[in-house]
Amino acid sequence: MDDEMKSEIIRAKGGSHEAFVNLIKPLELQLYNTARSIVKKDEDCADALQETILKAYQSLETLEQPAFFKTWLFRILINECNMILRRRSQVITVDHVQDIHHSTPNVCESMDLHDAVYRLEEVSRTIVILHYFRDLPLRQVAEMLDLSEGAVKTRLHRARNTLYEWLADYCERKIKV
Amino acid sequence: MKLNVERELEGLKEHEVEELPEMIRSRLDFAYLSLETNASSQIQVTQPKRRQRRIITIFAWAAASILLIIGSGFISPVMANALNKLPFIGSLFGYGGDKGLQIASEQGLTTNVNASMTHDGVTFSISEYMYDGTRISMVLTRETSDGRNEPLKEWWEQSSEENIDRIKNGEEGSGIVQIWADDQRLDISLSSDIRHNNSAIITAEPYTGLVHNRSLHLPDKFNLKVIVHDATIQQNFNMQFPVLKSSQNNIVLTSEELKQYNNFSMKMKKIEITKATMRMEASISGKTGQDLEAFSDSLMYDIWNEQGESALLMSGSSETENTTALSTAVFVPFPTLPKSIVVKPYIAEGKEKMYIPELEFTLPVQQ
Repeated sequence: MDDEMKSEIIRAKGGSHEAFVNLIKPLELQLYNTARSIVKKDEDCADALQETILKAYQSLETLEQPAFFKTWLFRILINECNMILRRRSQVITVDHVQDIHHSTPNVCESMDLHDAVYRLEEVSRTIVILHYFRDLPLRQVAEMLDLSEGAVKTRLHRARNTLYEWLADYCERKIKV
Repeated sequence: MKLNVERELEGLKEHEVEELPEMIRSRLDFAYLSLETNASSQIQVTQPKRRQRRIITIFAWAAASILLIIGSGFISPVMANALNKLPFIGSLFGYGGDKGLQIASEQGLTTNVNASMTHDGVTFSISEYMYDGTRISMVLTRETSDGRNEPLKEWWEQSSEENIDRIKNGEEGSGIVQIWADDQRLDISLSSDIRHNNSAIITAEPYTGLVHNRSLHLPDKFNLKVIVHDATIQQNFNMQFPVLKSSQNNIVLTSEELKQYNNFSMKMKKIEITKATMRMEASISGKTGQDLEAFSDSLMYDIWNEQGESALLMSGSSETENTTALSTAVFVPFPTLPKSIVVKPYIAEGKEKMYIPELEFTLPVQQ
């Protein structure tokens, strides 16, 4: 981290919104691309980005190490994105219950690996998205999620196995057909 | 058909978008704008979980003067902008203060004073105050002899930066504003609403901390001393004036009841109601090993009257130490004194409020 960034963080912690904006601006595209990988829809990206900026500004005083600003910010963003996905999965109108009931167990039938990733449980899904879709090294993924690198590797291994089982099951059935 | 999930996943790497869509651009710009206008205060208002960590003690007593909170009123950005351009006439509390101060101003509970000091062509003055027993709010103005009267926000940022530099260099941070009552320095949390070009409403409230007594504990009448340190000219400005409590019949509600939820216990320590402020203090305790801090930080509060009307939240905070947490929330009082009030703790899930009925408190209000 360069001195200029460090001094902007100190200024922002002192209450300068301008310094805070100066810190966020260069990260806008990275933040957007990350949000897009997780929530996909632009409307949801906008919500996640806006909440992230406001929450980060509000809680900047809790950031103890300026060097971790970027990791800290992305962690907030990832939480916001996952919150949106959680909400989205809870909001099921009565009209759609029937459709959902039929589509949920059909991961295998869709044979879309990309879609299957989004049906993984939250932490594993986030790891797969950040590592494969966003091409981030495991060490960085671990920092962003506040996990050990070992834990990330274990989760990733399990996630690949789950995906393999889903897809293999599909293939098996498809071959039988 | 042989599957290689890893290879297939590697093939899913997404292309980077190199330019933000217009909708995202405008939402980001809105978010930035809201940081400097009253929208930021609404976040503060709707999320009273700003944690005041131990780091504050580094700044000694005047710590919170560094915690500059810009714009926590309830006026629109357009109005705020217009106010900045108009000359300052009349009561800043009346049109620039939070709702509680506006009510206090309307009901004549604020007092005009004329305390000022000049050094090197810079004059600081305090023109108005409101003290209701729960907080002291003042209008602070900085004027320069060349008539330029730079925006107070810029001056404050500069002073705050220099103060932080001093602390970084191992010197003692003096704080930008110190408040003394009858020659005793107050251990307070200080916020500043810069509502006018070169004027701000500064509010001193009890400091939120377990080791501190969370009331101002001041007599109804005392001598107030405000010392402003102007780091740009390295001068202290000392202003003094007598203060009289504006509201004599504060209502204080307490409850001995202990409510339980998921092994957490909550007690409503105190709710103090004045014409300008309704301040709640609750304590929460947990068992060893429970994540009390995460729970208390996520808790927010609504206060309803007996008709189910909700009071407007102004600010709040929480502090956790070992197995006890203390939460405060400050609301705009109801226009008429309710017969009873209901404190409704909740956890926010996005825009949804997940109320916790097990922790609800109903307190009758003596008329």
